[in-house]
Amino acid sequence: MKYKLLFWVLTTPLFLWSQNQISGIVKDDANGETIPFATVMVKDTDTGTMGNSDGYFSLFNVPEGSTQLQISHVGYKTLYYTLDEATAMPIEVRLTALATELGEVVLTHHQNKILNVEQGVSKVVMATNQLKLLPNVGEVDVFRSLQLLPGVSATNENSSGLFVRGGTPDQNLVLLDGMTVYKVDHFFGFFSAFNTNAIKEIQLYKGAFPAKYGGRTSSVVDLMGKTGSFEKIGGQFGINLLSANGFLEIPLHDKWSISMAGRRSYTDIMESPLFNSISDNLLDSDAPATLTNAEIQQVEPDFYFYDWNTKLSYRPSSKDLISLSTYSGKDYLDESRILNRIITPPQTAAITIAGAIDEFTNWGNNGASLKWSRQWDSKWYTSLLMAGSEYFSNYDRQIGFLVTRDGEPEPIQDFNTQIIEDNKVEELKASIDTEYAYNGKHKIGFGASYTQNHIDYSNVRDEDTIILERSQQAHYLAAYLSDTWVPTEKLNIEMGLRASYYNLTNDFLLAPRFSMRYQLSPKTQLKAAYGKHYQFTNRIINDNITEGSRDFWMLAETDIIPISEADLYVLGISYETQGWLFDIEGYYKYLSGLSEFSQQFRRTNGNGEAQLFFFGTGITKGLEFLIQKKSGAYTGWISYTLAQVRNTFPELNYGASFPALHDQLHELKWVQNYELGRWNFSSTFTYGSGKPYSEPQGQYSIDLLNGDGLGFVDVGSKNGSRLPAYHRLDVAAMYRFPLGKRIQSEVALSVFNLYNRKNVWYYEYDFNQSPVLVTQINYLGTTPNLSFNLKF
Amino acid sequence: MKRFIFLLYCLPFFGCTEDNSLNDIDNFIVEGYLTNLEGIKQLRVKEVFDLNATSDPMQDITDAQIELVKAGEVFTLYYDENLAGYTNPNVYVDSGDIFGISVERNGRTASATTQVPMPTKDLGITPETIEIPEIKLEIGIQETLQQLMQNARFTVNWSNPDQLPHILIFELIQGEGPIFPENFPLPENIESLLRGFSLVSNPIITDTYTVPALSFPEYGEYRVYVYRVNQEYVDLFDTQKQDSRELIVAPSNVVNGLGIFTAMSGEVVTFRLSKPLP
Repeated sequence: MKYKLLFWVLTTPLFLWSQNQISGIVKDDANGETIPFATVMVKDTDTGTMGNSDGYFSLFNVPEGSTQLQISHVGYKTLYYTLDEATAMPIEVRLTALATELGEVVLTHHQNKILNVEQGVSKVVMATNQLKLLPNVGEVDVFRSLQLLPGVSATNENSSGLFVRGGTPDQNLVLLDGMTVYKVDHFFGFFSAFNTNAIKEIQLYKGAFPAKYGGRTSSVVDLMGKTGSFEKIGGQFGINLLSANGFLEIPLHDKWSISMAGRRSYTDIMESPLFNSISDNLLDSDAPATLTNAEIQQVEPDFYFYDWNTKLSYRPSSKDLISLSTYSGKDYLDESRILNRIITPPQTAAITIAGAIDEFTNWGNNGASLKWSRQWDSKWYTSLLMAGSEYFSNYDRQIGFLVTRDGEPEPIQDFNTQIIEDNKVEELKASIDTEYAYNGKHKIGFGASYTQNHIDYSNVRDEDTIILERSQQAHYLAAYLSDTWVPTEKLNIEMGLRASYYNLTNDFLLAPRFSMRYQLSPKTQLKAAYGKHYQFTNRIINDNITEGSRDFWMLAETDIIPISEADLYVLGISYETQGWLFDIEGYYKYLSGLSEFSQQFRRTNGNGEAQLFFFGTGITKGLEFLIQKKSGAYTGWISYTLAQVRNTFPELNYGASFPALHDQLHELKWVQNYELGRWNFSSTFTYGSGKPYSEPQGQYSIDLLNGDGLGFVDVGSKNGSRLPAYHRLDVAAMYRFPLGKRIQSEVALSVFNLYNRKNVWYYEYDFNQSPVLVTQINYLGTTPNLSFNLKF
Repeated sequence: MKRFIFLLYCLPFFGCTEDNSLNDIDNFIVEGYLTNLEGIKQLRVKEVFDLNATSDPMQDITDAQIELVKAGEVFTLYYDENLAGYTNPNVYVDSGDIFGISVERNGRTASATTQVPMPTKDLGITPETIEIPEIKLEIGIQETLQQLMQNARFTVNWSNPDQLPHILIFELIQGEGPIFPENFPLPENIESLLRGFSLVSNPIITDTYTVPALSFPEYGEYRVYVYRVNQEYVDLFDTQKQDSRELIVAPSNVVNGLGIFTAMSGEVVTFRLSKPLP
C-alpha cells in the first residue's frame, strides 16, 4: 500500500503535465498520405515536438484555452491550426504541398521548400516532391540531390554514392522501408537506384546518428516509401531521354492501399543522344593490352536498367498500419565485341587474327520488408519490422582469339582467358522499435534487432586460378536505449547507447551517442554531438581505377578484416530568421579498421589471401557552411565545405599518411530556384578543388643477374598529385500546364554542364609508348535532357 | 550574431590543407644480389629516370653511403668502377645468414633485409654432353633441325620437395664457335626459340628444367647455376607489367626506396655442346 502511495505522489506531477497534452496525425492534403517527422510547434513559443515515422505526434505543455499550432514540413506549406477546448483529440492536420496549383507563387515564411536542416544536429530532410525542381541529367535523383548538401561531395559523376564528411559510400547505411540497400548505383553510378516517385521522405544523418541506427561508420540515409493513398486513385507518368517511369496508388476498400512505381531505361531498344553521350563517357572499350595490334569491331554496348517498387498497406484501425514493401532493381551491360584483322607481312603469308571478347556485367538489389506499426495511445508507439535484402554483382569477361597463317594447318597462337568476379550479399533482419513520450521533458526510445548477413565473393581467372574466394556468414545482435530530454525550453539533449554483439569476431561493443541543441537567443542555436560507430560489413576497395566498380563486400572476420570504428565529434552554430538560415558545423572523425585490397601490390612476406589486404586508420575533419534562403519565389542555398581526409596504412606509402582518393579541400555548391507564374527556373553551380591521384613520377629498370632489365614505373607518393579543380553549372526550366481538369503536366528542359567544362576524371598512361603517352579522360560535357511528366 | 562571427574568425585554426608530405623527387633504386657462391654478386644504386625518356640512360649513383650488416658486423661498401657496382671483398655469404643494408644518399636512407636461403641439393644434368652436327645449307637440313629440336635436350634436375622457387642461369665458359653459320636462314620455330630463350630463367617451383641444345649460340663448355631464391625476387616477375588500370607501386622489400635486395643460394653444374670430330 505504501508503495502505491509513493508511486502516486511521485507521478502526480507527470499527470499534471500531461493534462496539457495534445496528440494527432499529420497527412498530405492531396491524398491522405501520412507525413512523417513533421514539426509541430505552439506558435510564437519554443514549445514543440516532431512527429514519428507514421505521422503521429504528441505535444505536451500546450497552453490552456485557444492556442495556435504551427505545423510545418519541408516541401509543404506551413499550416496554422487553432485549438480550443472543444477540439477533439487526436487531431488530424493536413498539409498542402508547395506549388501544387498552377501559377502559384509561394511567398509565406516559416517553410522550407526543398531542404530542412533545422530538426537536429547533422541531420537533413529533403522534400521528394520538390526534387524535380533541381537540374538533372536524365533522371530526378534522390542521391544526386543529397550531394548538393554541405559535407556531401558532389564532384563524383561516376558514383551516385555519397561521400559524407570524408566517409565512403559503403560507410553509409542506406535503408528503404527498413531494407538495407548495399549498392545505390544505376548506370555505373550516374543515377541512383531509387525512383523518386516511390519515395515519400528522405532523412540524412551526416554522423552521430541516433542509437536506433548502427552498423555503419559514416552516415544514415533513411528512405521511406510512399504508403499509397487510402482515399483516391492517383498516379504519375514520366518520360525523358533515357527512361520512362510510372507511379500508381490505388485504395482498396477503406483499409487497403497499394502503390506501385516502376522505371526502366529504353536504351537497349532505342538509343538516344543522351545515352550515347553518357555511355561513351563512362564505358571504356579499349582493347586489352595483349591485343594492341588487333582491330576491334566497335559495337555499341547493350545496356538497360530497371527498378520496381510496390507497397501494400493495410490499416485495420486508426492506430495500426501494416505494410509490405518490395524493391527490385538491376543493371545489365553487354560490352561484347569481335576482333578481326588480317596482317600481310612482306614476303610471307598473311596472318589472320580472329576472336571475340565476351564481356557481361550485371548488378542490382532485391528486397522486401514487412512492417507493423501501432500507436497504442498518445504516448506509446511500436513498430515491428522483418526485412530481407540481396545485392548481387556479376562480371564475366572471356577473351579468345586464334592467330593463323595462310597455308598452315596449325594455328600460330590459340589464346583464351577468362575473368569471373561474383559478389553476393544477403541480409535478413528483424527489429522492434518503441517510443514512449513520457512527458514534455522526456521521450524515450528503445528497441532491439537481429541481423544475419551472408556474403559470397569469388574472383577466378581462367577457370582454375582462384585469386580470392570467400563465403561468410555473420550474426549481429543489437539493442539500444535513447532519451530525448528537454530540461528547459532552450535545451534539447538526445542521448543513447547502442550495444552490439558480432559473432565472427566474438565482440561485444558499446556505442554511445549524444547530441544537444541550445537556444542561445531566439535566432541563434548552438549544437554539439558525439557518436561512436562500428561497421561489420565492409566494401573492399579494389585498386582498379578505370574499370568502374570492382569493389566487393566482405564481412569483418578475425585475422582477415577488422571491424571498422569511427569516433565523430561535431560542433556547430546556426542563426535563423524567418526567411534565412545560416548554419556552420565543424567535425572531427577518427577512423580505424580501414581496408584496402590489391591484387598486385603484395607483401613480400605475406601468404595466401592475407597478403592481398592492407589495413589502416584515417582522420577526417572539416567545416561546413550553409546559407539558405528558405521561402519566397526565390529560394536556394550556398553550401561550402572545407575538409581534409588522410589515411595511414603502415604498409602503403612507406607508412606515411596520404590523402584519401575523395579528399577535397574546398567544395562550393550554389543552388538557386525561382518561381515565375507557371515557370520554374533553377540552377546549381558546383566547384571542388582537385582530388588526389597517384601519378607516375618516372621510370626505372631492375637488372637481373645476366643484365636483362625489367622495366617499372615509379608511381611516386600514393595519391600525391592533384587533378585540376572541378566545376560545372547545371540549369533547368520547367513549365506546368493543365491537361484536362484532373491532370497536371510538366515539361522540363535541363542542361548539365552548361559551359562544357572539361572536368578531369582520370589520366590514362600508355606505358607501351615511348615516351609514355598520357591521355586525359574527362567527365561528361554539355548534356541536355528533356522530360515530360503527367500527374493525376 | 556576435558569437556567429566569432566562430568565423576561428576557421583558420582548423588547419585543413592539401599538403602531401611525402617527397618523391630524391627516390632511388637499390639493386642488390648476394649469393653463397659469389658473395656480393651485384649491388648497384640507380636514379629514377624521366617518364618521358625513350630509353634508360643507365645513370648509376656512385656516391651513396652503403653499409651491410651481418650478425652485428658492419661492412662499408665502396664503388668499384670495374665492377660497375658497390663491393667489399670481406663480405662472405653463407646459407642462413641474415643481411641488412642501409643506403644513404642526399639525406634519404633506404633499408632492406634478406636471408640467404638453404642451397639447392642433388643438382645434376643429363646428358652432360650433346654433339651437334655441323649445320649447313643442304638438302634435308630442315628435317635434321627438327630432329635435333626434339631429341637434343639437356635436362637439369635437383631436389625440391617443398616446391620452393628456383632460377637457372646459364653461362658460356669456353666458346668454340657459333652453331649456326652467319646468315643461315633459320626456320621460324628455331628462330623464335633463340629469340625467346633467356640465359636466366624465370622463377620456377619444379625440380627439372629442360632446354633444347639448339637454344645455345655456340659450341663449347657451359655451366648452369641453379639458385634457390626468396619471395622478393619472385614478386619482381609477378608485377613487371604495369598499366594505367592498376597503377600501383611495384612490390619491393626496400623500405623508403625502390628496387630489390635479395640473397640466393645455389649450386653449379657444367655441360658441353660439342662438334663432331673431324
